[in-house]
Amino acid sequence: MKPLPPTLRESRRYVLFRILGGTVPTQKDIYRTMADSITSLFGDAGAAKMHPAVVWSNGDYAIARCTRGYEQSLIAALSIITKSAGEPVAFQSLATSGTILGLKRKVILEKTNDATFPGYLCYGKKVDNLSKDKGHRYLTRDDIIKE
Amino acid sequence: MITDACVYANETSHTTLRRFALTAASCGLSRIVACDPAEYVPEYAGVSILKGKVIAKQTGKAFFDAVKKTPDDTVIFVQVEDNSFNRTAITTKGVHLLTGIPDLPKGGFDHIVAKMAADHNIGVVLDLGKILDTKCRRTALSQYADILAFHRKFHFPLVIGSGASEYLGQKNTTEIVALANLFGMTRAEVFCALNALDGILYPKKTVEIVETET
Repeated sequence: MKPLPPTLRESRRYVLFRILGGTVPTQKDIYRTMADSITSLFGDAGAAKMHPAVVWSNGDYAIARCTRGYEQSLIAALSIITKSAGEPVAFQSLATSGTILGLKRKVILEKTNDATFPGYLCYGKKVDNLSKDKGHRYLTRDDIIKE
Repeated sequence: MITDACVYANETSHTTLRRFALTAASCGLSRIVACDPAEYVPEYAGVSILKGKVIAKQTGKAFFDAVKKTPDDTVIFVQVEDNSFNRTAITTKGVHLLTGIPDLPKGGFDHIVAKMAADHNIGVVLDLGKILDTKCRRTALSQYADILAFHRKFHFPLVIGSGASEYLGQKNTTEIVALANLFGMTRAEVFCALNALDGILYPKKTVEIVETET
Protein backbone atom coordinates (compact mmCIF):
# COMPACT_ATOMS: atom_id res chain seq x y z
CA MET A 1 0.00 0.00 0.00
CA LYS A 2 1.20 3.48 -0.85
CA PRO A 3 2.11 5.56 2.21
CA LEU A 4 -0.31 8.32 3.16
CA PRO A 5 0.56 11.87 2.05
CA PRO A 6 1.87 14.06 4.92
CA THR A 7 -1.36 16.05 5.20
CA LEU A 8 -3.38 12.90 5.87
CA ARG A 9 -0.94 11.36 8.33
CA GLU A 10 -1.86 11.32 12.00
CA SER A 11 0.23 13.27 14.50
CA ARG A 12 2.63 11.33 16.63
CA ARG A 13 4.06 11.70 20.08
CA TYR A 14 7.34 10.39 21.40
CA VAL A 15 8.01 9.16 24.93
CA LEU A 16 11.52 9.04 26.38
CA PHE A 17 12.06 6.28 28.90
CA ARG A 18 14.92 4.89 30.89
CA ILE A 19 15.66 1.20 31.27
CA LEU A 20 16.45 0.29 34.87
CA GLY A 21 17.69 -3.03 36.13
CA GLY A 22 21.36 -3.53 35.28
CA THR A 23 20.97 -5.30 31.93
CA VAL A 24 20.23 -3.35 28.76
CA PRO A 25 18.01 -5.23 26.27
CA THR A 26 18.40 -4.74 22.50
CA GLN A 27 16.04 -2.41 20.63
CA LYS A 28 14.20 -5.47 19.25
CA ASP A 29 13.71 -6.90 22.75
CA ILE A 30 12.48 -3.50 23.96
CA TYR A 31 9.91 -3.40 21.15
CA ARG A 32 8.74 -6.98 21.79
CA THR A 33 8.36 -6.34 25.52
CA MET A 34 6.52 -3.06 24.90
CA ALA A 35 4.22 -4.63 22.28
CA ASP A 36 3.36 -7.54 24.62
CA SER A 37 2.62 -5.15 27.45
CA ILE A 38 0.37 -2.93 25.29
CA THR A 39 -1.51 -5.97 23.96
CA SER A 40 -2.04 -7.43 27.43
CA LEU A 41 -3.31 -4.10 28.76
CA PHE A 42 -5.35 -2.69 25.86
CA GLY A 43 -5.80 -5.65 23.50
CA ASP A 44 -4.99 -5.87 19.80
CA ALA A 45 -7.52 -3.19 18.86
CA GLY A 46 -6.00 -0.73 21.33
CA ALA A 47 -2.49 -1.53 20.11
CA ALA A 48 -3.53 -0.97 16.49
CA LYS A 49 -4.91 2.48 17.34
CA MET A 50 -1.80 3.37 19.29
CA HIS A 51 0.72 2.46 16.55
CA PRO A 52 3.57 1.80 18.98
CA ALA A 53 7.19 1.63 17.86
CA VAL A 54 10.65 2.02 19.34
CA VAL A 55 12.40 4.63 17.24
CA TRP A 56 15.69 5.10 19.06
CA SER A 57 17.73 3.55 21.84
CA ASN A 58 21.12 4.34 23.29
CA GLY A 59 22.43 2.74 26.47
CA ASP A 60 19.83 2.98 29.21
CA TYR A 61 17.58 5.32 27.23
CA ALA A 62 15.03 4.64 24.51
CA ILE A 63 12.32 6.57 22.68
CA ALA A 64 8.93 5.05 21.86
CA ARG A 65 6.43 6.44 19.39
CA CYS A 66 2.64 6.44 19.52
CA THR A 67 -0.35 8.23 18.00
CA ARG A 68 -1.16 11.63 19.55
CA GLY A 69 -3.65 11.26 22.40
CA TYR A 70 -2.36 7.83 23.45
CA GLU A 71 0.68 9.02 25.43
CA GLN A 72 -0.90 8.21 28.80
CA SER A 73 -1.78 4.72 27.62
CA LEU A 74 1.76 4.16 26.33
CA ILE A 75 3.28 5.37 29.62
CA ALA A 76 0.93 3.05 31.56
CA ALA A 77 1.91 0.13 29.34
CA LEU A 78 5.61 0.89 29.78
CA SER A 79 5.32 1.17 33.53
CA ILE A 80 3.77 -2.29 33.99
CA ILE A 81 6.78 -3.98 32.39
CA THR A 82 8.76 -6.04 34.89
CA LYS A 83 10.81 -8.33 32.64
CA SER A 84 12.51 -8.11 29.26
CA ALA A 85 14.28 -11.07 27.64
CA GLY A 86 14.05 -12.95 30.94
CA GLU A 87 15.82 -10.27 32.95
CA PRO A 88 14.13 -8.05 35.56
CA VAL A 89 13.82 -4.51 34.20
CA ALA A 90 11.66 -1.44 34.61
CA PHE A 91 10.92 1.11 31.91
CA GLN A 92 10.72 4.47 33.63
CA SER A 93 9.02 7.14 31.52
CA LEU A 94 10.79 10.50 31.71
CA ALA A 95 9.32 12.90 29.17
CA THR A 96 6.92 13.26 26.26
CA SER A 97 7.49 15.39 23.19
CA GLY A 98 6.35 15.94 19.62
CA THR A 99 9.85 15.52 18.24
CA ILE A 100 12.62 12.99 18.73
CA LEU A 101 15.19 15.78 18.84
CA GLY A 102 13.41 17.41 21.77
CA LEU A 103 13.71 14.21 23.77
CA LYS A 104 17.31 13.48 22.77
CA ARG A 105 18.27 16.81 24.34
CA LYS A 106 16.97 15.51 27.68
CA VAL A 107 19.13 12.38 27.65
CA ILE A 108 22.04 12.48 30.07
CA LEU A 109 24.36 9.59 29.37
CA GLU A 110 26.14 8.45 32.53
CA LYS A 111 29.63 7.08 32.47
CA THR A 112 30.56 4.11 34.63
CA ASN A 113 32.61 5.21 37.59
CA ASP A 114 35.39 2.62 37.56
CA ALA A 115 37.63 4.42 40.05
CA THR A 116 35.95 3.01 43.15
CA PHE A 117 34.72 -0.25 44.60
CA PRO A 118 36.24 -3.01 42.45
CA GLY A 119 33.64 -5.73 41.96
CA TYR A 120 30.75 -3.30 42.05
CA LEU A 121 29.05 -1.62 39.14
CA CYS A 122 28.52 1.99 40.11
CA TYR A 123 26.28 4.58 38.51
CA GLY A 124 26.38 7.77 40.53
CA LYS A 125 25.32 7.05 44.10
CA LYS A 126 23.50 3.83 43.23
CA VAL A 127 25.30 0.49 43.38
CA ASP A 128 24.22 -2.90 42.08
CA ASN A 129 26.05 -5.60 43.97
CA LEU A 130 26.34 -8.79 41.94
CA SER A 131 28.25 -10.86 44.46
CA LYS A 132 25.36 -12.12 46.58
CA ASP A 133 24.10 -15.66 46.08
CA LYS A 134 20.53 -14.49 45.50
CA GLY A 135 21.60 -12.46 42.46
CA HIS A 136 21.43 -8.67 42.44
CA ARG A 137 21.42 -6.64 45.59
CA TYR A 138 20.56 -2.99 45.16
CA LEU A 139 22.46 -0.64 47.46
CA THR A 140 23.81 2.86 47.75
CA ARG A 141 27.39 3.84 48.48
CA ASP A 142 26.42 4.68 52.04
CA ASP A 143 25.20 1.12 52.52
CA ILE A 144 28.63 -0.23 51.51
CA ILE A 145 30.43 2.15 53.86
CA LYS A 146 28.10 1.08 56.64
CA GLU A 147 28.67 -2.63 55.92
CA MET B 1 4.43 15.96 50.91
CA ILE B 2 4.20 13.62 47.96
CA THR B 3 4.22 10.20 49.56
CA ASP B 4 4.61 6.65 48.36
CA ALA B 5 2.39 4.98 50.94
CA CYS B 6 4.01 1.58 50.95
CA VAL B 7 7.28 -0.03 49.97
CA TYR B 8 8.40 -3.35 51.37
CA ALA B 9 12.03 -3.02 52.42
CA ASN B 10 11.87 -6.17 54.54
CA GLU B 11 14.24 -9.12 55.01
CA THR B 12 13.29 -10.78 51.71
CA SER B 13 13.82 -7.64 49.64
CA HIS B 14 17.08 -7.30 47.70
CA THR B 15 16.89 -3.51 47.87
CA THR B 16 18.06 -1.58 50.90
CA LEU B 17 15.95 1.17 52.45
CA ARG B 18 18.49 3.80 51.39
CA ARG B 19 18.24 2.64 47.79
CA PHE B 20 14.46 2.87 47.99
CA ALA B 21 14.80 6.43 49.28
CA LEU B 22 17.31 7.35 46.58
CA THR B 23 15.01 6.03 43.85
CA ALA B 24 12.04 7.78 45.44
CA ALA B 25 13.97 11.05 45.28
CA SER B 26 14.67 10.52 41.58
CA CYS B 27 10.95 9.74 41.07
CA GLY B 28 9.91 13.10 42.52
CA LEU B 29 8.62 11.76 45.85
CA SER B 30 9.43 13.40 49.16
CA ARG B 31 8.39 10.66 51.59
CA ILE B 32 8.02 6.88 51.65
CA VAL B 33 6.42 4.54 54.16
CA ALA B 34 8.49 1.39 54.65
CA CYS B 35 6.34 -1.51 55.80
CA ASP B 36 8.02 -3.87 58.28
CA PRO B 37 11.52 -2.58 57.42
CA ALA B 38 14.59 -4.71 58.13
CA GLU B 39 16.51 -1.57 59.14
CA TYR B 40 15.43 1.97 59.81
CA VAL B 41 16.82 5.22 58.46
CA PRO B 42 14.69 8.31 59.23
CA GLU B 43 15.84 10.26 56.18
CA TYR B 44 18.03 9.73 53.16
CA ALA B 45 18.69 11.77 50.00
CA GLY B 46 16.12 14.35 51.10
CA VAL B 47 13.38 11.72 51.37
CA SER B 48 11.85 11.20 54.80
CA ILE B 49 11.05 7.62 55.70
CA LEU B 50 8.21 6.53 57.96
CA LYS B 51 7.91 3.12 59.53
CA GLY B 52 4.82 1.11 58.70
CA LYS B 53 3.32 -2.07 60.09
CA VAL B 54 0.82 -4.30 58.34
CA ILE B 55 -1.60 -6.09 60.64
CA ALA B 56 -3.47 -9.04 59.16
CA LYS B 57 -6.76 -10.48 60.38
CA GLN B 58 -6.58 -11.79 63.93
CA THR B 59 -9.02 -12.63 66.63
CA GLY B 60 -10.49 -9.68 68.55
CA LYS B 61 -8.04 -9.36 71.46
CA ALA B 62 -4.93 -10.25 69.45
CA PHE B 63 -5.83 -7.54 66.92
CA PHE B 64 -6.29 -4.85 69.59
CA ASP B 65 -3.02 -5.93 71.26
CA ALA B 66 -1.17 -5.75 67.94
CA VAL B 67 -2.45 -2.20 67.38
CA LYS B 68 -1.67 -1.16 70.96
CA LYS B 69 1.88 -2.59 70.92
CA THR B 70 2.78 -0.69 67.76
CA PRO B 71 4.88 2.41 68.53
CA ASP B 72 3.25 5.82 68.04
CA ASP B 73 5.55 6.87 65.19
CA THR B 74 4.50 3.88 63.06
CA VAL B 75 1.86 4.01 60.35
CA ILE B 76 -0.57 1.14 60.94
CA PHE B 77 -1.99 -0.67 57.92
CA VAL B 78 -4.76 -3.21 58.36
CA GLN B 79 -5.24 -5.94 55.79
CA VAL B 80 -8.92 -5.80 54.79
CA GLU B 81 -11.04 -8.90 55.26
CA ASP B 82 -14.75 -9.49 55.69
CA ASN B 83 -17.15 -6.66 56.45
CA SER B 84 -17.33 -7.09 60.23
CA PHE B 85 -13.55 -7.15 60.62
CA ASN B 86 -13.19 -4.03 58.47
CA ARG B 87 -15.72 -2.16 60.63
CA THR B 88 -13.86 -3.20 63.78
CA ALA B 89 -10.54 -2.10 62.24
CA ILE B 90 -11.93 1.30 61.24
CA THR B 91 -13.26 2.04 64.72
CA THR B 92 -10.03 0.95 66.44
CA LYS B 93 -8.00 3.89 67.67
CA GLY B 94 -4.53 4.02 66.15
CA VAL B 95 -5.34 2.43 62.79
CA HIS B 96 -4.44 4.70 59.88
CA LEU B 97 -4.91 2.81 56.63
CA LEU B 98 -6.76 -0.13 55.10
CA THR B 99 -4.77 -2.13 52.58
CA GLY B 100 -5.14 -5.26 50.42
CA ILE B 101 -8.16 -4.07 48.43
CA PRO B 102 -7.64 -6.49 45.47
CA ASP B 103 -7.85 -9.45 47.90
CA LEU B 104 -11.19 -8.30 49.30
CA PRO B 105 -13.84 -10.99 49.60
CA LYS B 106 -17.15 -10.32 47.85
CA GLY B 107 -19.01 -7.52 49.63
CA GLY B 108 -16.03 -6.79 51.88
CA PHE B 109 -16.16 -3.05 51.29
CA ASP B 110 -19.65 -1.59 51.13
CA HIS B 111 -21.14 1.89 51.47
CA ILE B 112 -21.33 1.56 55.28
CA VAL B 113 -17.60 0.77 55.58
CA ALA B 114 -16.90 3.66 53.20
CA LYS B 115 -18.93 6.07 55.32
CA MET B 116 -17.30 4.84 58.51
CA ALA B 117 -13.85 5.27 56.93
CA ALA B 118 -14.77 8.84 56.03
CA ASP B 119 -16.08 9.56 59.56
CA HIS B 120 -12.99 8.12 61.26
CA ASN B 121 -10.55 9.59 58.71
CA ILE B 122 -9.13 6.17 57.77
CA GLY B 123 -7.38 6.01 54.42
CA VAL B 124 -7.61 3.28 51.81
CA VAL B 125 -4.41 2.26 50.05
CA LEU B 126 -4.39 1.78 46.30
CA ASP B 127 -1.44 -0.54 45.77
CA LEU B 128 -0.13 -0.03 42.23
CA GLY B 129 2.05 -3.14 42.55
CA LYS B 130 -1.10 -5.22 42.12
CA ILE B 131 -1.67 -3.66 38.68
CA LEU B 132 1.78 -4.81 37.58
CA ASP B 133 0.98 -8.40 38.50
CA THR B 134 -0.74 -10.05 35.51
CA LYS B 135 -2.56 -12.54 37.75
CA CYS B 136 -4.51 -9.98 39.76
CA ARG B 137 -4.51 -6.99 37.37
CA ARG B 138 -8.15 -7.31 36.29
CA THR B 139 -9.40 -7.75 39.85
CA ALA B 140 -7.28 -4.85 41.06
CA LEU B 141 -8.49 -2.49 38.32
CA SER B 142 -12.14 -3.35 38.90
CA GLN B 143 -11.85 -3.14 42.71
CA TYR B 144 -10.00 0.19 42.51
CA ALA B 145 -12.72 1.58 40.20
CA ASP B 146 -15.34 0.59 42.81
CA ILE B 147 -13.30 2.13 45.63
CA LEU B 148 -12.92 5.31 43.57
CA ALA B 149 -16.71 5.50 43.15
CA PHE B 150 -17.12 5.17 46.94
CA HIS B 151 -14.41 7.80 47.48
CA ARG B 152 -16.19 10.27 45.19
CA LYS B 153 -19.41 9.79 47.14
CA PHE B 154 -18.19 9.55 50.75
CA HIS B 155 -14.85 11.43 50.55
CA PHE B 156 -12.73 9.11 52.67
CA PRO B 157 -9.00 9.60 52.09
CA LEU B 158 -7.31 7.59 49.36
CA VAL B 159 -3.56 7.07 49.36
CA ILE B 160 -1.40 5.61 46.63
CA GLY B 161 1.47 3.22 47.23
CA SER B 162 3.78 1.53 44.78
CA GLY B 163 3.81 -1.70 46.83
CA ALA B 164 7.34 -2.27 45.58
CA SER B 165 9.57 -4.91 47.12
CA GLU B 166 12.44 -3.94 44.78
CA TYR B 167 13.42 -0.48 43.60
CA LEU B 168 12.37 -1.46 40.07
CA GLY B 169 8.75 -1.39 41.22
CA GLN B 170 8.84 2.25 42.33
CA LYS B 171 7.02 4.63 40.00
CA ASN B 172 7.44 8.33 39.31
CA THR B 173 4.52 10.76 39.39
CA THR B 174 3.97 10.64 35.60
CA GLU B 175 3.68 6.86 35.72
CA ILE B 176 1.41 6.96 38.77
CA VAL B 177 -0.93 9.35 36.92
CA ALA B 178 -0.94 7.06 33.86
CA LEU B 179 -1.58 3.92 35.93
CA ALA B 180 -4.32 5.56 37.98
CA ASN B 181 -5.92 6.72 34.73
CA LEU B 182 -6.52 3.03 33.91
CA PHE B 183 -9.24 2.85 36.56
CA GLY B 184 -10.58 6.34 35.95
CA MET B 185 -8.70 8.45 38.47
CA THR B 186 -8.01 11.99 37.31
CA ARG B 187 -4.68 13.79 37.65
CA ALA B 188 -6.06 16.08 40.38
CA GLU B 189 -7.33 13.09 42.35
CA VAL B 190 -3.96 11.37 42.03
CA PHE B 191 -2.07 14.34 43.46
CA CYS B 192 -4.67 14.68 46.21
CA ALA B 193 -4.12 10.99 47.06
CA LEU B 194 -0.32 11.37 46.99
CA ASN B 195 -0.60 14.22 49.51
CA ALA B 196 -3.34 12.63 51.64
CA LEU B 197 -1.17 10.93 54.26
CA ASP B 198 -0.54 14.15 56.19
CA GLY B 199 -4.29 14.59 56.67
CA ILE B 200 -4.55 11.06 58.05
CA LEU B 201 -1.57 11.18 60.39
CA TYR B 202 -2.18 14.74 61.58
CA PRO B 203 -5.92 15.37 61.18
CA LYS B 204 -7.25 18.90 61.50
CA LYS B 205 -8.90 19.44 64.85
CA THR B 206 -12.16 21.30 65.18
CA VAL B 207 -10.77 23.27 68.10
CA GLU B 208 -7.10 24.03 68.33
CA ILE B 209 -5.47 25.72 71.32
CA VAL B 210 -2.95 28.26 70.24
CA GLU B 211 -0.64 29.62 72.93
CA THR B 212 -0.14 33.34 72.71
CA GLU B 213 2.60 35.40 74.30
CA THR B 214 1.37 37.59 77.13
